Amino acid sequence: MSSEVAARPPLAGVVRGLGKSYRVVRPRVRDAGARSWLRMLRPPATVLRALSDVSLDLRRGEVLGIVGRNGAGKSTLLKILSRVTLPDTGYADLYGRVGSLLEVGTGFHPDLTGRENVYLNGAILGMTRREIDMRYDEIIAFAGLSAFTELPVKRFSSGMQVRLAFAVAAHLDADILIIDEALAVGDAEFQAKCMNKMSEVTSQEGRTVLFVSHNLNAIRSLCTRCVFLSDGAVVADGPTGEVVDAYLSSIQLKDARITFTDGDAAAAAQVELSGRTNHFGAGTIHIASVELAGVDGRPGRIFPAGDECTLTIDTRLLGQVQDPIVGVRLKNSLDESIATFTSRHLFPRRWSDVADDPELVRLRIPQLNLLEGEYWVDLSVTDGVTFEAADMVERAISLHVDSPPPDRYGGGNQEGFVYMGGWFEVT
Amino acid sequence: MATVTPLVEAVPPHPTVRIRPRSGWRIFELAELWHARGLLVMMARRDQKLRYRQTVLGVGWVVLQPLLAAAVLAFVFGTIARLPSDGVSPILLAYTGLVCWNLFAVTISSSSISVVAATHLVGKVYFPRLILPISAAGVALTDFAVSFVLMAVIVLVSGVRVTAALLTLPFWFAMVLALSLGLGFAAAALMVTMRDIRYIVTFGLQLLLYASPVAYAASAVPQRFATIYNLNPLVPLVSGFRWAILGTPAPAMGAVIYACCVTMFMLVAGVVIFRFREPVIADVI
Repeated sequence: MSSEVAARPPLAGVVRGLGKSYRVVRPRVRDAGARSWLRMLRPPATVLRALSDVSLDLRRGEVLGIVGRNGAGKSTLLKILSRVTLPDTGYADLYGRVGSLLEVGTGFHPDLTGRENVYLNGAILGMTRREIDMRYDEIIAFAGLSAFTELPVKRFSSGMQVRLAFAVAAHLDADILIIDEALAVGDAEFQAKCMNKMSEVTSQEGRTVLFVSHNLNAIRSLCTRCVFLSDGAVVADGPTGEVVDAYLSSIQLKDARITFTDGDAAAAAQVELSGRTNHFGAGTIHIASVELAGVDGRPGRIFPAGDECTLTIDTRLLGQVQDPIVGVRLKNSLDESIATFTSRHLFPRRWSDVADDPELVRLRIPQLNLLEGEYWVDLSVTDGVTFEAADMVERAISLHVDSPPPDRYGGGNQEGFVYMGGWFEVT
Repeated sequence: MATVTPLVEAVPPHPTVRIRPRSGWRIFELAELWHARGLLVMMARRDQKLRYRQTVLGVGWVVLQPLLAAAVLAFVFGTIARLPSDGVSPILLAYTGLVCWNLFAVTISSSSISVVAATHLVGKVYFPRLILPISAAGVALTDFAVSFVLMAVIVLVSGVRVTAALLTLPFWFAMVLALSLGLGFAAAALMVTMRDIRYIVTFGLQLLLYASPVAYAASAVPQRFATIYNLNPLVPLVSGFRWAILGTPAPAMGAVIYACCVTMFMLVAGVVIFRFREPVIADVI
């Protein structure tokens, strides 16, 4: 066989010039003059271009990852390829049986038993009764739920439901498998099992997998090729490493712009938040300001790696909140969550009954084990009974971590995420 | 062997799945529907299983509902209003009418909400959407089967002489089912964008129950209203159904032909409306 053929496995699908727009109905304006019958039948709408001119080749035995920000058109593309919705322009031809898993456990009914749901879900995914009969034991074994098949699924834990649902999907005999964020659920062990199963089916059985995920680690480890979508168009298509890097640097560019605009206001030891426009929540508690302090309680926003850091949040009670939970999230410049602190239920109900009285909440981080860089702090107060946000401010304040001190030979803990303070010695 | 790199890559000639923008009038894709019959049966059985789960009486409801309703209707129309009942007992008249009526009403009401009720499924997975209203009719069919058996018992016990007209029973059954499915398809597709349909269906069924010879005989309707009354295709269908079982007067041939035409038209129109709306269902739901 020629190397040319070996390098390019047969086509599993062709996508050409795919485009789709949605009509988004604008909220009706209470205007007596505009209230005609025609208007009621066809309310004014704006056209949202979800996908424009997307062309791809799918090859057999390939795991194609699709990355992009929210709203980039990833889900629309998968929906069109799964035939849930039709394109406006262009076409796609797929060669082989298509199985789509836009969600784990589509059609699961809580009142049906595990067995009944396997059959129903299998049928919805396009399996025949005989196929399910043949694979039933395998599916139950893969999910590890053989003791629970006759129990209604509503008695299952959510983890068990996910396992059962994925087990059905994993045994779907599809040539092209379309998966949207399905792996984002379930425990780590089961996720690993699913990933193994996925690479197994693609490499050994020559199937094609189309995979959308926000989990870049999963994309990197699973996908042989990757497509980067932005504003509904293909920006990059190629080897996973290159495309993911292109995606990451585009995020950083966008974030750099945000940093630049909010940055001046947030880059201070004390930040007034009352004037911020990005408050989110019921407004029953107002996060008024936030302050950073170092080891001796002195205000400051620059910390040596591994040093102590204290965050003081000034809140005001404006309404009714039960068992408030305070949350603080540290994020790196890629908007990735580095650490989250929640006060949870042990937190005393200390909010003053006197409205608008300042109430200070302090978070003490004894060791800021972060490497050099800019970090963002998100703040939130949540109602502990309804779990609705009382107030939330993203990017409330930013802090800077200085490079850790080098060891005596000039080396040490420098790259990565976590500062551990290790050093080299010669013995 | 010499290796030649083809300039244009060979593409398998027949794609299994062709995705195109909406075009033309590919209305009846019966092959596809046939292919998905397994799912259809599975969904119908799901509805069946869930319908009376966690009820005390279970299938007893299927028996009890029309029986109680027939008793009340017979009391109101037969005993209080003293309407003529074509020479059979009012309860028998009402019960046979209700068995036929329920087939019609339950099919319409369950199939019309089937698409809206499956919002979640429709947005996440593809299957011929027509499966939804068709499988929803499964519930009406089991109800019909159960109450039909009960009806057979009652009729035999009450000593009604079965006539050769009984042979026409499958025809009336098929007509009522086709008419209700046609209306159900149209209602299901239109309800996606206009939830008003739900109330129209409920209210319409309420009116239609009294505008059809369910609780009374068609002969009770005064002659001067006959033209308007006979516009309702259910008039000859319910009368015919009852004629087949009880041997009451048969509907006029002209009325039956009219009902057949309306039924066929509604069935085709229902499918056309449904297929026409089908591509947008997932987008607007």
